[in-house]
Amino acid sequence: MDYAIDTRGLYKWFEGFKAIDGLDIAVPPGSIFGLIGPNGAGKTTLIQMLIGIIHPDRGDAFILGHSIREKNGSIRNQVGYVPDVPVMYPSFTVAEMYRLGSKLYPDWDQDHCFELHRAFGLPDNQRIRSLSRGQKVQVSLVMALALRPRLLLLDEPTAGLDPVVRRAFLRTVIDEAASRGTTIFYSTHNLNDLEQSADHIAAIYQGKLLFTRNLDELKQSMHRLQLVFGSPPGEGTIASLPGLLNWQGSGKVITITIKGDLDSIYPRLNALGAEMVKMMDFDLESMFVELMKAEGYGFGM
Amino acid sequence: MKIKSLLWKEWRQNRWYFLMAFLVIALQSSWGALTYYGVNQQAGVAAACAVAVGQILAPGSSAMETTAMVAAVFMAALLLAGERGSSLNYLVTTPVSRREIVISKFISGNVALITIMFIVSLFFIWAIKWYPAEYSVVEVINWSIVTTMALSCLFSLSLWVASFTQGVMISTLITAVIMALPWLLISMVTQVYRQYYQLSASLEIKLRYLQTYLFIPSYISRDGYFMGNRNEELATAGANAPFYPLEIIALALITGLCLWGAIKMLERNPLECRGEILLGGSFRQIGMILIALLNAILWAAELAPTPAWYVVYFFALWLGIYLLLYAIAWGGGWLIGKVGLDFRNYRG
Repeated sequence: MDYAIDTRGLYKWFEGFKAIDGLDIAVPPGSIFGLIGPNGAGKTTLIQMLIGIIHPDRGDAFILGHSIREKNGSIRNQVGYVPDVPVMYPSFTVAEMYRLGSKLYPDWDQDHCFELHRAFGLPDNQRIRSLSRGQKVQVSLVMALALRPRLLLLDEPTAGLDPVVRRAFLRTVIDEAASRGTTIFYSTHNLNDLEQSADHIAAIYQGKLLFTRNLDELKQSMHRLQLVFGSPPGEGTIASLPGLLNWQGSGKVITITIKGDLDSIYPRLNALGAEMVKMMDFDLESMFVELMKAEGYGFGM
Repeated sequence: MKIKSLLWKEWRQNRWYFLMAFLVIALQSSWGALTYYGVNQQAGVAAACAVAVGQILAPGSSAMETTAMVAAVFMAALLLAGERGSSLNYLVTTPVSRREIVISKFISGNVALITIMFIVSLFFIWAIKWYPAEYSVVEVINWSIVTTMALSCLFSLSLWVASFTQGVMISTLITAVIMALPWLLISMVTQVYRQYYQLSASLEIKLRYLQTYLFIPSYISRDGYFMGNRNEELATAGANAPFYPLEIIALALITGLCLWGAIKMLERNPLECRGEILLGGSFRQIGMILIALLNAILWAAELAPTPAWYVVYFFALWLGIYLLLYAIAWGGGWLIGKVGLDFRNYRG
């Protein structure tokens, strides 16, 4: 299978600090792939390496079949990029930025550009420096989509945006993926956004891949269960459960977070003496928090 | 095609800087004439122009030439180092290679310098036609070609430095240090040599030649020739007349080398943090090695009684001063860490 993104043993050090630590991620073409991880996990570093801002120290990555180590810039002909803080030319007007884009990208679609520009209600002749952060993100997205990308790299683009702009942004991105089959690689802290849009996710922590999973499979593989016992179980009894990520409660009622197939979990719980097992709501954000806790990233969560 | 687009971008982005460079250089060219006219009004404007231009063309630094050199260095730093950490991060995400980025900046800066020098030279030639001056059109053309090439060379040197530094001022400062380094090294070696041996006139002339040809501003100021004229042997060798073909070849070679270096360095430069790297080592390390080297050259001569001892002292001092600087840098870093400052600006 030709992946849209395929990283192989990628490493990046910053003054002795390992920002990316032997990362292997494969992103299927046409997917909306969410990248999650706490601050400093290496998300921005990874995306900046993929788009060519920084170089890997070891390993390689392939985007649309081309190595990121290729010096020829043509690899980025079909790759759009929206950073968390868009950097463009402050003295340029919005129209001049589009003009620059049309000169640099061979497949630039001017009609699509104007269509998106109008949809976002952006000003034509205002200088970039005088735009709000939200408007800069929108201009950046318009440019990233007008080049007709096969791959779109988004680095926490909706962080700090108001709900209306965020929703418009996400809708545009999802429409693009649906209509043209564009692969979206999307790093974010907002897991609600991701839950609504992504079909695959990967979690990284301290530059290492924790897991990469189809989102539906992930939801089916992690569970939050409330257990009611006839008499209080011992701590060791609960802790011995295979796949247990976390548990809380005291007395007869215990809430556990556990990984695995429910068909194999239920008999074990029965064997421990659970008289009643109730499935709790478990959203992506809670799953992420539990996984991070299991990796030792607690910070009092 | 991509270069053409990048040139448009450079023009659109930097046109006011180019205009400012032109105004500053042009103003310096006419400033001499204005001040001369101010104190010798009976001579007339035309005479003032001719005298002022004659002063620029004569050996020795003029305000206009110094301004032009600073403008060339500053322009390259502005074009590349000034974009580091901001819009350059946008440009490298587009389908242009870093080679194309450097080449487009090289072309745009050189076109600006050539245009400025062309207009200034036209003014000089026009001044001759207006008033019989003590210089000819051929002299103006020669001066114009060599000066433009030297400015282009300084621009390339600054572009090379800007490819591994961030910030206009630090880039300009490092360019000045690198520019002066050959001159400084030869002066120091000459001084040390004199301490133990008799320096023959012919060797001194050769060293001065080397110093002149490796110090880019001397192609413009002609200070090297000026010094040489005071030496009888040099004067009889006919060396007071500049040998333009050799100068142009030397300048073209340095320019090409610096351009190649800038391309290679930017291709290697990861653009994260301050991104200050040099081939095979860190920027700070190389700075410390260099400072230790320069100090060791002079200190060893002060301490060593014989040339043999000089070699021993030189290497011992080089290592000693380097270790001292390393300890200071390490101690400073430890202290900064202790008080809780962290200058690493990597982003997760």
